Amino acid sequence: MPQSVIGFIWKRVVLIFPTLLVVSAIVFLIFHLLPGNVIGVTIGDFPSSSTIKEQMERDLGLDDPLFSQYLSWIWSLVNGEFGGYSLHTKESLRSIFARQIPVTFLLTSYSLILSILLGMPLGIFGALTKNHWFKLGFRLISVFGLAVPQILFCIGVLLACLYIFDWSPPIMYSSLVDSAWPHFQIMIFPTLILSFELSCNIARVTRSSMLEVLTNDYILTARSKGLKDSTVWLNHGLPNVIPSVITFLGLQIGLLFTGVVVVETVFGLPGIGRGIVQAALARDYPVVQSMVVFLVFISILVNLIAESICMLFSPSIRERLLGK
Amino acid sequence: MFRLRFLFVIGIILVVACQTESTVPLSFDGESLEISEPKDSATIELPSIMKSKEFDSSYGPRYGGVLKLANRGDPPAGFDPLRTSSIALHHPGGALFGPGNLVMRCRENMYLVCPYLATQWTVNSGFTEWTFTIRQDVYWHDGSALSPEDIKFWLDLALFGTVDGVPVRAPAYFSNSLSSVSRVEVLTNNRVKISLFKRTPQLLEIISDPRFKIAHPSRSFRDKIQEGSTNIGPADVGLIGISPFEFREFTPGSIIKLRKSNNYFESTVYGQLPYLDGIDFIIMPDPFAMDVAFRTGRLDGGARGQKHYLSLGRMTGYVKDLGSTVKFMKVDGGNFRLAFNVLNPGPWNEPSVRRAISLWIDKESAIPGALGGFGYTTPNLFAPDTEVPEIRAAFINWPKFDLESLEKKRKNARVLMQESGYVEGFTMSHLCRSINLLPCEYLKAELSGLGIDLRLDVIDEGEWTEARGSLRFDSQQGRLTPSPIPEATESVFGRYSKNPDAYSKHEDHYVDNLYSELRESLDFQSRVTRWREIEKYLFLEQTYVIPIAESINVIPYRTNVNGLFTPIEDAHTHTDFATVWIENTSN
Repeated sequence: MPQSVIGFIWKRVVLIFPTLLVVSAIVFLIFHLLPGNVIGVTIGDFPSSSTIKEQMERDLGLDDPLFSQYLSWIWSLVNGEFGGYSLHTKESLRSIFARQIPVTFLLTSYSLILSILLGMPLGIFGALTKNHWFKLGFRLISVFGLAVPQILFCIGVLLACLYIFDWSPPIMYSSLVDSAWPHFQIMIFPTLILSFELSCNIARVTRSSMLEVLTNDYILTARSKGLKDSTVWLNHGLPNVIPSVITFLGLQIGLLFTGVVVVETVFGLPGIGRGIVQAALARDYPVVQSMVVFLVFISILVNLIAESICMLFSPSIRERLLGK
Repeated sequence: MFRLRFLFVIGIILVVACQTESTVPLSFDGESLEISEPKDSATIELPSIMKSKEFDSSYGPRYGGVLKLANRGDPPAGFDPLRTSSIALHHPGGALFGPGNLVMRCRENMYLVCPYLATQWTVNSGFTEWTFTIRQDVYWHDGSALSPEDIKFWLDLALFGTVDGVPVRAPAYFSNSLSSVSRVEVLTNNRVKISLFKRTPQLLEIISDPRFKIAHPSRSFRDKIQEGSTNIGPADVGLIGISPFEFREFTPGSIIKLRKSNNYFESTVYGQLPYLDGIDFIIMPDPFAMDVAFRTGRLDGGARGQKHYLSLGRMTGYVKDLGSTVKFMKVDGGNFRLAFNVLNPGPWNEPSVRRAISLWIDKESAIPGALGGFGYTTPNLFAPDTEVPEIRAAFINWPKFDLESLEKKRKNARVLMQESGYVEGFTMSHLCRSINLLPCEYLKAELSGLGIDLRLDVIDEGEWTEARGSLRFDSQQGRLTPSPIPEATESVFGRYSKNPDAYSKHEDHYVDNLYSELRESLDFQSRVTRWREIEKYLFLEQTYVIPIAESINVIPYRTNVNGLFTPIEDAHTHTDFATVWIENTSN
């Protein structure tokens, strides 16, 4: 790897930390500005005196100055406690992360892999084919995939399972290692739903990139050399399409996380998506703040990896990013 | 629903009065009165169906099987019943911690108090000293015996936030319900004495609330607290209860596994309880996913809690798919009401305007329009198919007002609005809970006919509890009833500065007086009279609160799930599942 690329990556890695610090401050302020608090949610509907609520707040340190709460949370993020513990359930963040990250990681990984496997070939074929019906079908499906909200897909899939097969996915999550078949059963539909939108996006980006690449002079040169179409596409077209797709995937990670929130909630997957929604509703500050910072960290990391790969594959991108 | 509880209290008072008169003459010299001496409190009554002639006793109940029930979410606060009233804890909480504490709501009649951890109790003539004798055959799930010290430890921690007399943390969220308790002592002969600042004849009814659970042995908790972990919950000390089912496993977001306790003290004529080998509470925050899972046979029963209770439409789907293999538990879910904040300036400050709104609302239409198709309107207290305890039926006359036709009432409403100078209507903000949008929209539509623009302020769960105790809104609604007795309804109908969580926000000192008179009333008839006065003042003369309709919460169960006790109201009741058995279990 060229020294300049390593220097670039190193600089970006260093920048992650101040970025996260700014993000953490913004996230902390946003959640503390929201009305409501965890004490009320925890107590529930039973009338309770304000004195007791104030005492409970004191017990949890919620009456400390905001800056002091922020510092103590930041310290707990870096000292190995991953943000402390849940004010609502009392579970430690370490345990929450250990439990939820594998679920979300597997779900997003499956979705990403399936989306690439479906989206890229479809996009390439869409760019190369002259079949009118395929083009029409391709457009219809991709627009449909982009337009329909995932929550509708989820409900539709569950209703279809119920009414057509009189079946529903398992109600409890099973890990891949412990029980592969139940794991497959519970993960398959969320994966398909997440992949549908993402693969439509990938297919559209691949197709447009491929069409653009095919107009370049070096493609014309390759053809003029008498190379076969398939060789031109695979050896000269595809390598130049891949950086665009990778950059796009990096940007899509946020969208993927949004989808994860929906599918995990509906399909009962105990991952970060569902956890973040529940923590936000419960005003469980340490959990929701730590999770948001974690997701931002993952997004930054994925984008950095995407950029690094692109720099390795594409000299033009390398030159652009290095400012040469 | 407070009136049901009122009747419940009346029943208790009658029972107590009958017993005391037959044994010890009432006197006020401070001597103790024997109140209860159950012959065999551990042998419990079975549901009526199991005692009927049609029931083949050689056939049921069966031992074995694991019941699969949905649960609304992970139990908050480390399973601590001192910290949360959430049904997400109290649905599995009955099976894990037991259906009561010293006493419990009777299974056959939830309006009566039955012994649970106490075998008997006495009270002095001033109703300021209650002495409970603790059962000696109760064991924690770790095998150790329940002691009076455990009871005192729990009561001290719950009511005063103290351990060995030292304040360590905030008292339980419900401690203001028992604020008249001054001291808890352990006496000889396995007894515990509760002393109170003031006369409290309703103590049994208050503490029989199923939310007040004893959730842990004292020693493990004491040790942890003394080490400095003051915010611990039962989950931090291994979830050791005294209930029919022992804790086995909890995977947050997935499942709570409970398994049969072999040294549980309750039994029936058929044998030792519980019948089930265990219960799996599956965490299902999404009601739609719960519906699908139930309808495809993955669950034996639904979750309890708002959103998860079935609407008529969802119930129809269940019946269509499952036919006679599904049954529905119907539990009164409280009064759907509109309450005003008269501390915010506006037309609603005038009683005549509030009264006009009360007359205008078509209460019958609230059932399909706001309550998902299940409910009934006042003045009918119960749903037609509810088995009302006989002792209570004589008092079911609340509130026999506004019985004219809707047309006539609406005509009067317009006259009142005109006389108040608001013939053109006005704008009023309304606190709306996001999981309860339908009732908000119903009220908005109803009041628009009177020219009132109801501005809905929709808030999420995180803000709800704080917002409903604030003065930021001109009106609010809800349908939960937290108080088991009429005296305690002051927490939801009383003055704002004394009761921030009250439905209506007012500073009417006359309400204080009314409640004070109610508490001072000693005999049944005068209590009824006082309560009628409160109703008349709150709902008619001042119309601080408009009772609209009673809601019904519907929970699905498979028909092979037997032995369930259905509480007439308050779904926190009868959640121990000790008497439940599965008909077609393999073992």
